[in-house]
Amino acid sequence: MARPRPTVRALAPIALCAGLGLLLCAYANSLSRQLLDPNSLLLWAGVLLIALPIFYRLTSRDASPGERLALVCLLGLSLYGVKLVRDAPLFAFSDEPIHAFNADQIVAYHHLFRFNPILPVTPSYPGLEGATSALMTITGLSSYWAGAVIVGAARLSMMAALFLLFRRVSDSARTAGIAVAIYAGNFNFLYWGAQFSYESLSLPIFVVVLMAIAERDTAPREWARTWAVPIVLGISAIVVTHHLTSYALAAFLAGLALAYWLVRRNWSWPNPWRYAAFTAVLAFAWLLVVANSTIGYLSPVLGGAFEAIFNTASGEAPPRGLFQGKGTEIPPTPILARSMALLAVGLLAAALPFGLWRLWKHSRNQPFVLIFGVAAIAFFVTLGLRLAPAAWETGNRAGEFLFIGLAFVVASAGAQNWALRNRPRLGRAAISAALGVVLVGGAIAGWPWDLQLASPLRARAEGRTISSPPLALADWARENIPGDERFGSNIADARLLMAPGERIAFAGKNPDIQDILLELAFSKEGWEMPLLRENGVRYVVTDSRDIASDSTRGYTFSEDGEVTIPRQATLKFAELPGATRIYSNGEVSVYDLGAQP
Amino acid sequence: MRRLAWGAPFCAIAALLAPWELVSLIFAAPLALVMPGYAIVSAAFARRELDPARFAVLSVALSLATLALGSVVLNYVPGGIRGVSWAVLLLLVVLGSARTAALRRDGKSAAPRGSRIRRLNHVELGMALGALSATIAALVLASTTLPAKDALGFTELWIVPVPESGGSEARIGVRSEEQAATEFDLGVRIDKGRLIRRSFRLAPGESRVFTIGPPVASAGSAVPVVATLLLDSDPRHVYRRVSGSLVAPEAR
Repeated sequence: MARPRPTVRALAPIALCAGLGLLLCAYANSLSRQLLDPNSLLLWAGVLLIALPIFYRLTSRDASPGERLALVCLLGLSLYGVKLVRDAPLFAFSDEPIHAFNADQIVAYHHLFRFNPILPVTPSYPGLEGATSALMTITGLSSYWAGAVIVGAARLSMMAALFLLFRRVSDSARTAGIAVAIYAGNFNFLYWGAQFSYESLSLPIFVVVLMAIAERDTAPREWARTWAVPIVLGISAIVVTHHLTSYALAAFLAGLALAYWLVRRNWSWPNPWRYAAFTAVLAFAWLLVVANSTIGYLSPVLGGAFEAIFNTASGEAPPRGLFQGKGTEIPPTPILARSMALLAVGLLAAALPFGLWRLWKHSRNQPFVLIFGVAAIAFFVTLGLRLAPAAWETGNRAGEFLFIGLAFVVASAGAQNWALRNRPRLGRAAISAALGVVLVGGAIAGWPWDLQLASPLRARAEGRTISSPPLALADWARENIPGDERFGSNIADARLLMAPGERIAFAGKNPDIQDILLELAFSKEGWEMPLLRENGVRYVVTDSRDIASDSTRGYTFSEDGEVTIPRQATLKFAELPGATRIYSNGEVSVYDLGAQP
Repeated sequence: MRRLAWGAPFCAIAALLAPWELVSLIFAAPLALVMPGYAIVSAAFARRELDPARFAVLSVALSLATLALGSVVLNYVPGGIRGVSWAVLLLLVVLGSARTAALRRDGKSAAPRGSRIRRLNHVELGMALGALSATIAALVLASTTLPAKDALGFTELWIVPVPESGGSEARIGVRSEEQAATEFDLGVRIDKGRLIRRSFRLAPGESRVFTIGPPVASAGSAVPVVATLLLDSDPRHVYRRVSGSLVAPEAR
């Protein structure tokens, strides 16, 4: 058997490739921010330059476990860098301004649980923003950079913990490395899961808790209390950070406890049922005592998902088109990109039966293997949810957790041992290419095609900086409107008003600001002004850009041919008695409705 | 443990006193993202042996968990969540856990021994530095504001009351977000008669703010103000218009 080569020697050129790949991604984004319409292939070439050398090395037999660990950490951090170089130093993903607002509020008022006008449930789960506030208050960093450091550290620990978890369960560093590489192909890994949002912290801790439970399983009985410390701390941190992750952890641990019982026919140590119960009780207590608004937040989402599944399955509602955005102006995903995404899913599906068969044959007495197998099958069930419009998001979120099991099962299929025409290097190259397809295809499936590259929020003109209309509004509001005044606006404007504008802005349907802004005239019943007054809204922001209602696209500069909403919808506020337009930048106007009577 | 006991207070003080954010981060990152978890793992595994990889992963993850839970603790502490209170909390966690580890370990070292790392040769060192340089270049490029000629420029016009004037004065601001230097004509009509005119040129990103008022009117009465911005190149069309009011002050 070949002796493992010294770690650093192999790592140096791979790290160089990762650095150059990241630079290529930054270059592709810089062209896109200049509106030069670069070919997306530049971005994917950068991503593959990062990933393929790592994949190729991970498939080798002679890398040491330490080197494989370093490689998966390098993969995780480099791919996180791809998200960072997309839009630094401004938050441009839909959930980021919401959480940045919470973090800014904590730093400004020195306390948690403050009000969030768009997602009221988020202040009740302050783990991410609380952690970010530590770096913000100690160093003076902005919420963007402090958040980037926290999420980066979380990503690093997730990659390492995944590797250690898979290695413990598979007893193979090679399988573990490849499983982590497959996990990087989960649909949300490149972009959505890397944003400054509570799940970006809770999911890594979730993985660490699983790793700790797997380690505890192999330790002697007298180590039980030792492992209880990281497990209990991790569970507690998840409960205060993210609702769905805490419920997913309770469900996962309950399933694991059942798997232990199935394998060993007893509930005694090391069956983790106590941790499942602890998680459930803690999550329920937090829900009741601190975060009772979560029920009102999650029940319509989950209820809508069930209803959509039923309606789609019964033929009452048409299925959701894959790779399609909500608006007609959103460019379609090219055929080649769609094919790549479908090929990625196809490769995973093709490997699944082999993985399940091998695991059933060799490892079915391992509880973790059983639960991973169930998760892998469940992943493909959740793919069906993508066809039901309101269930899409539920399936998408569940996928991040279930992909842990899928990655392990697919890696266990043994494809890495395949030697094409007795030439192992060719086989490794083919497997690396397949992993590349899974990575790129997953990213395409998980994030709209037209948003893979950045759009400009700021631009250089004659040596100075100019801002996009919503960003200029946010900067103006921060400098000119008192912090306790409230705005009602479109979804995109509201998010930038919250961060970096640091102002309270309502948007969307609850309260129904969206209809107030988009209707061509006020209703005869006159419900609009009472609703605005009831919510303390003094300033109404009108935006003629149709894209202002899009929380992922509405932040950028306009270009020629911008689609606009009817003028009556924006001008109707000028007819309100006592309302005055105090701000205008052409597309965006602010009306002052006057102080509360 | 001794190094940790000295290092944590040093990092806390240096991070709080450092004049620049980046320098402060260099000290705050180990204090917040490594030391609490390292100390907790050292205390928990004082009598067990844990390999370096698991020790490192748990150190970072439990540090993050400490930060998430620590904010909930600080929320109920007098003074709340501030830089100093965070530093004190993290020091308490680190020093308390380090002390526990020292008491529990019975002379045995819990911290894993670092494996010996081979020195890089010149080529490998060059590659590693190249990787670092490329990463830094990527981040710098990403943070650099670049020209976007096809982005549509615009200009902001606003009117807001001067906060300390009781509504008798207002600020009228113009900020250019245009792609090129532009000449403007601003007209401000106070009530029905008085018209103030200003002509000026703004480069992209430049702004100009004028203060108007107090109005000449009976005390306490509100006087309408309309500000109209015209492009010098197209003076027949209104480019921007905003309105507000001024309140005539009480006579002293």
